[in-house]
Amino acid sequence: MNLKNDFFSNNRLTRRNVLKAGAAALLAAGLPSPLSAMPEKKKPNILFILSDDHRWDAMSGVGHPVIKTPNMDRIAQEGVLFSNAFVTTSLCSPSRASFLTGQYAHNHGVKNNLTPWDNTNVTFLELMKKAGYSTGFIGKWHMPGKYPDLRGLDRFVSFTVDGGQGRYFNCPLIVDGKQTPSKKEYITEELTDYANEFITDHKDDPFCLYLSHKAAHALFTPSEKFKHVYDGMDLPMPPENDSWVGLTNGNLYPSTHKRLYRNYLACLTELDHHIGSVLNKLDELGIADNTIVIYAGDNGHFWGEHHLNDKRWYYEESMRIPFIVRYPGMVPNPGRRAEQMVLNIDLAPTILDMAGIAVPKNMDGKSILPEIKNENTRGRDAWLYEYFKDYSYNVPEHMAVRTNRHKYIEFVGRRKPELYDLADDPKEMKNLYGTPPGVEVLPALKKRLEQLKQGGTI
Amino acid sequence: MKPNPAADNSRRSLLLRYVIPSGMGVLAFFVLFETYYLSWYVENRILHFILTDVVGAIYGFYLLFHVLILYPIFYFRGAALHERILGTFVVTSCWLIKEVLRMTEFYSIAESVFYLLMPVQIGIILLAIGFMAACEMICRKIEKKKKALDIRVVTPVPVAFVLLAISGSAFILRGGGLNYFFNFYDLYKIVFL
Repeated sequence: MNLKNDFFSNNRLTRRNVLKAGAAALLAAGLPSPLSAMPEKKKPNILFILSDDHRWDAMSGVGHPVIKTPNMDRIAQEGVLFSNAFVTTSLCSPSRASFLTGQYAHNHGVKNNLTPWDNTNVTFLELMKKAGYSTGFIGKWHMPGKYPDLRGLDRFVSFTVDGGQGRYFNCPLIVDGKQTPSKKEYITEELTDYANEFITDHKDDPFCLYLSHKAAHALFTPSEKFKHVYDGMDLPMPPENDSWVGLTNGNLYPSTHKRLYRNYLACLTELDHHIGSVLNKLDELGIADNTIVIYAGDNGHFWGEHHLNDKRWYYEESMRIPFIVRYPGMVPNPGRRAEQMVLNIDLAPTILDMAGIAVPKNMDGKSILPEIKNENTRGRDAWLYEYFKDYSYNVPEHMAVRTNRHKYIEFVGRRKPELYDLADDPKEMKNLYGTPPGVEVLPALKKRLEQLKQGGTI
Repeated sequence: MKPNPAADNSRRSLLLRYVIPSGMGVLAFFVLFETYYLSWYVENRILHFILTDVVGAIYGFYLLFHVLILYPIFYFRGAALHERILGTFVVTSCWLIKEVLRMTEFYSIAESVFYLLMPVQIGIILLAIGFMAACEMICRKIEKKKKALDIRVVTPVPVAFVLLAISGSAFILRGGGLNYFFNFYDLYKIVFL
């Protein structure tokens, strides 16, 4: 490579380049550089948007035949979409605690929707604050126990009504510890307004905002404006679904799946609309180029697959999530799909890494910044999935190892293990446990599961 | 509610007035239940959907409204009040037992029984009680007209149960069910955690 030619061909004669060249000359001469007196490049702002029960494939950008999500697609087109993103526990509270702490449920302690959040847990927001960021948590907290005493927050907007689930309409909020009536009728719009306000107030700081939506959790209620967007459209339902699956076998939803699914999609499109409002705010303030936007769901959702609804189980529909990162200037080929397996516990270490903050050793996840910057980065080969019983749901406690090819599940109680070959059977319909192909791969999977249970590398 | 006064001259044997109707009620429950779940494994798509959608619908309606069929049978076969109540409640009991057994795979016996306090189970019980009370008064009315008996059709106890069922169902369906649902979990935490 001809460095000289490169220098002249790639570098325009700008004031900055002249300064750099001068500084280099001064440095070479052992004199103080004038660049040391120049302000450092501002740390990137970080906006994390979390939705509820958003399944990985309910986006127009990944080929869903009905739903329209132009703003989520925009984040993906301008960034990187992780096609193999998962949660380590497919349940709201444990998953949310994992996003915040970078830890597995067995470490942060929120094992289900009943075990309380421990205030000694350290969130990445606390570490961001210590590093000089302005921090905000806006939206659904939904973790058991008392209202949390979160450290390192400049703004904390959440709600506790209906067991922490909040309400789609007229949801009373707690704003920095003060009970506050809702200003907007619909919760997604209300939270978006708070987010935009926070971004505007802190546009000159480096900020880190955690925007956690209620949508699109049950009871899947869009506002009047979006209620009918998918009326009359033929929805793709899985072959195992029938009208009554949602009302049987402990799956008690007060309606049929098809109707609920239509509302679910409408809720997501409405959420997408409001995500667009936040993206526009970043553009309007001129800070989009220095703001990393990450979008994820807290777990997936069944719509009749395996005769199930809700989430919790170890099947792909439940554990797989959307996970998109827009990092201006850092994603070499925007719009790419990354195949590496990433997890909700990776969020905290990744954000810390992006901000140049050391990742604490007690975080179970790992920074996926290398995967974001370089598509050839080798991802993890396996990871641990865990589910702890959650009264009163009919899901047995289980642990699973998920590799790029297989999934092996062991249950607590009387159920036999299950094993699936995801390459040959992506819908997980043929349990290979006890079959010749299953016997062949079982020892390695069992060994890997044991390693992961003992805290082995992921 | 008093024992059926019209029953004396039309009272059937225990087998006919109690055992067979309750047995038929239970049998119908299990046939519908099993058919619905077995239909999941029917490979033929058309047959699959006919079985799931039709049988599923009948199964749901039967669970909710079986009292309207069973109670009059007991009444007009001369079953005593306790026989009418127990005989009719047998289907609801099957559902509740099934639910408790389902829960025992994952939870202790106490937690499984506690599950009966869920709004869905309470709603089903309330509905059964309300329908029984309404049926009692309707059957009295029919009996009174048919046999010109001097009996009071509307009495305080069945009226109270009808009102309880209506108000309870309305509470559950009109959003109170969600509050009850969260209170149920708070109670669970107090008792079991």
